[in-house]
This record gives sequence, C-alpha cells and structure tokens, in this order.
Amino acid sequence: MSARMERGEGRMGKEDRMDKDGRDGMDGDERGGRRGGFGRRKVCRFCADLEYVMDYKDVRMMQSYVSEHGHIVPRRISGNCASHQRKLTSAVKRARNLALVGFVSSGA
Amino acid sequence: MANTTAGKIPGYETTIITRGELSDDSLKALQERIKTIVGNFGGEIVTSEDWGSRKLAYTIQKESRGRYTYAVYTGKGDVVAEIERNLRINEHVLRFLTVNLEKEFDGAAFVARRAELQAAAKKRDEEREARREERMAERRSWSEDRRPRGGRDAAVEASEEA
Repeated sequence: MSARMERGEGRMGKEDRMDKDGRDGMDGDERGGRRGGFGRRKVCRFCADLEYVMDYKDVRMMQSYVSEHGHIVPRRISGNCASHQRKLTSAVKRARNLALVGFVSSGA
Repeated sequence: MANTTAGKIPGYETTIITRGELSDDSLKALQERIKTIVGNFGGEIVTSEDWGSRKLAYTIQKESRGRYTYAVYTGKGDVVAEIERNLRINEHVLRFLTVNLEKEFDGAAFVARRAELQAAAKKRDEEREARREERMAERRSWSEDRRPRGGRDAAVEASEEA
C-alpha cells in the first residue's frame, strides 16, 4: 500500500515537471486525482454471486453485457474478472449464432 | 442399465431454430427422429424444452421469427454428427448449435442444477421488478417542483412522514 503511494507521488512529481514543459499537465493531474479515491471499486458479478452463472441461453443476461450497438462490454466497464470475461465472450458469441443477441445492434 | 453407463457417457445440448410457422406435427416428427438417433447411439434424452416462437435478432433465410427447441442428451461416438446431418437435411431447420457439456455426464445432476439456476434467475427477475416498482412509486410520490436534491435521503424522510 505504502509502496503504491510512494510510486503515485513519484509520478505526480514527474507530471509536475511535465506541467512546466506545458505538455499533458491536465490529463495527468485528472487521472492522478481519480486514482486517489473517486469511483467505486467494481466486483465481478459472477464471482460475487455463485447463482449467477454464465449461460448463452439467458437472453436477459447476455443483453446486459452487450452494448446497444452489439459490442461486448469491456472488462473495465463491466468489472468482470478475467476468467469470467473470457467465458462471457464465448457465451455472447454462441448467443449471436442462435440469433438471441444481434451482431450489430441488440435486436430487442 | 442407464444408471450403470451414466457415469461414463458424454452429454451434449443442442438448440434448434426452426421456421416460425412450422406446424406442431412436423416439429414432433423432428423430435422423434432425434430421439431414435439418440437411442441408436446408446444414449437418452435428458431434457427437452420448447421455448416457443421468438423474434430473431436478425433475419435468417428471410425469416424474422423462429421456433426454438432445446434438448440435452447423452450418447456415444458420433451422435452429434448424425443428428446434425439430419438437421441439415431438414429444410425447416434454420440453425442449430450443439455444445459439448461433459465427458462424464450425469443427467440427474444436470437437471437439478438447471432447475436451481432457473429458480435463482426467476428470483433475480422478481427482485428487479420489485425494485423498479419501488422506484416508480417513489417518483410518483414526489411532486415535480419540490423534488429535493439529495434524492434517496429525502425519499426515506418522505416515507417516514407518511
């Protein structure tokens, strides 16, 4: 924990220097601020609830992990863990083959 | 006999989409056919479900509605190949998907687990519905112009007053 803090401070220092150069100052600052505490830590729903099992036949579940344009929702947004995200992608692809979920737009 | 072999026989699940306007009789004929094939390969049908007619997410062979049939079965060797060969011949079948479930398939356990998961899913749906109604009631109870800024706390206060 403390090691991470130190590293964070180190980075901030670097960004300050960049600020003097007049490059990327704002971006870095914003990100540093968010790392500091904003945002809620996401938990993988499939790990949290063992009754919530991946199933390509469950249309409602599949639609909650597919964007309105038919994209699979990325991990940084859905908060899934790596292994469940891998299973999710294969489940969504199966559901697409069965016309339960669309390839291009979620055909509701 | 089924019990002695159940531990070692692999299980598969197949979902079949047939044309929406297909009659019940021809669907039944298809199911019978699958049943005999599964029987020939020393397996049995574990569950068979009819999901009814659903709207397809995209058109398949110019059909926008399809009838879904879902079957879980066991069988040795080339059951899947034989069933899929038959499905390809049948012109009413729009699409099918077979998933290999397990090498050593236990039908009873599968049925129990599936029922459990479906019950859990149903409970989730009911909870979601209940939450939505709660929200709607909350929204209705507020008058438009004096909607407070701290939404949830104010709602709790309102409900305590009432």
